[in-house]
Amino acid sequence: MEIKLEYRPAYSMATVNLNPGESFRAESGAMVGMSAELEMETSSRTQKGGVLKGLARKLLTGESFFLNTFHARTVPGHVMLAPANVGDLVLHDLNGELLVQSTCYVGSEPSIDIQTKLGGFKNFFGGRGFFMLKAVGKGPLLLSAFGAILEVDVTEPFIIDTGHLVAFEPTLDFKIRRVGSWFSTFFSGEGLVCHFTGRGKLWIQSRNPGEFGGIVGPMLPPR
Amino acid sequence: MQSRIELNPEYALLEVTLEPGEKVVAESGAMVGMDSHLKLTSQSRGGILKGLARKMLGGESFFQSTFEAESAPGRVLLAPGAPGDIREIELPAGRSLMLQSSAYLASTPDVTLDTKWGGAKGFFSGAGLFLLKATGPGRIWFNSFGAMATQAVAGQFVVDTGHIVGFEETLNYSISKVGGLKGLLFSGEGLVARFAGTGTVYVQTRNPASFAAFLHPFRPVKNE
Repeated sequence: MEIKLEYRPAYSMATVNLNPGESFRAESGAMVGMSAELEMETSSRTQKGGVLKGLARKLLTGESFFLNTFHARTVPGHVMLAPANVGDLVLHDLNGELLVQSTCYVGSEPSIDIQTKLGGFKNFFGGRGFFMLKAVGKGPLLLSAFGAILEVDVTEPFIIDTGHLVAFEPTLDFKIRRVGSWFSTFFSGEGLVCHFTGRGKLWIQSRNPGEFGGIVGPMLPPR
Repeated sequence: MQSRIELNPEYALLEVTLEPGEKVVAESGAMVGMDSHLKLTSQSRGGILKGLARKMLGGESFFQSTFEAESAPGRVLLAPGAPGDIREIELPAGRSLMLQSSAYLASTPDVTLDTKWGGAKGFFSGAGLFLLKATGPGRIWFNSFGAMATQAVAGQFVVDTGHIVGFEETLNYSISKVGGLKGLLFSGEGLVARFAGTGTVYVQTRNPASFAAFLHPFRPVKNE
């Protein structure tokens, strides 16, 4: 398997070259194009949960609930993958665990287990679409960012806005917190943050999808 | 005539420099700026009815603008509506390029443009894929949402309909549905075109329907 990233950072696209017997899994809307020789298989995210559980997730999080797996059977082929939004892609060589903000997941080697981590009540306070996935295993993991992507080495407590979070290593512990008063939470837009402690890497996106939606959305006709 | 594509791929801009007697035709609305001595005329190409058919079926503007340098050279700056790249190709006489309707930016006057009905297939399958057929001789400029990748096809290749910019007429295609329950809200998602034959497909690295789906939850909610 060989993965090539092109057109970075603004309009990044990944081309995944598969040899016979290899597969790659991707978020359902990510496929741009593929060799006709590849076989595409659609499944809901968790094999156990099935469609209804998937649908509940869809409604709660805005995240899509289907994954497509592309298989090269007897001949090689390639699949091109791109995120929905403007921004960069990063290829993470997973060996262990990574926590990924759900809208930033693009694809992964199929043996990597993608678990939805509802995380209880606190995550729903994290703002629109803030929902974590836990990727467990070994192999390539493809993530997207809205805007550019920045790697941060955390060695002492660090705070980031929930809308800018892409992923973080499990050696970091996080809590969702308010900064300032309840008043500023509701009126400043800077209210909810992830407070990280421990040591490890985290990745942040240079634009916040919620902020962008907040600028453009009110100009659109009501739904 | 000289042309230059600048500021690509993110915000590509086309600059065309016309010698006296030369013209360039562009999608109405594409003009960013021009030398004031150029002559600008708007017309419906191929007559009102044909133009209207294009508008209804192709989703493309009813009117196009022609820029002409009469006695002195001059330049015109043209830009597509969406952020992304611009590509220029030279079409030999009789050779055609099929373009997704919003991908057309400009062409030299001898290039003919026809609505090809999305080959009815695109229209009836709900793919939202409306195609224009541009036939040479001449130069044509077309644009993408995001970057533009070139995919050579020899045999078969599958492309999400929302990522198609255009393709050479030597390729045949059929539309089919993939990927579960997507496309409930926005037409075009979850539909793919399966290309067969030998030729080039131009794909865009972002999908306008996915972008619209991202923005949808941010729309105000109607008061009942």
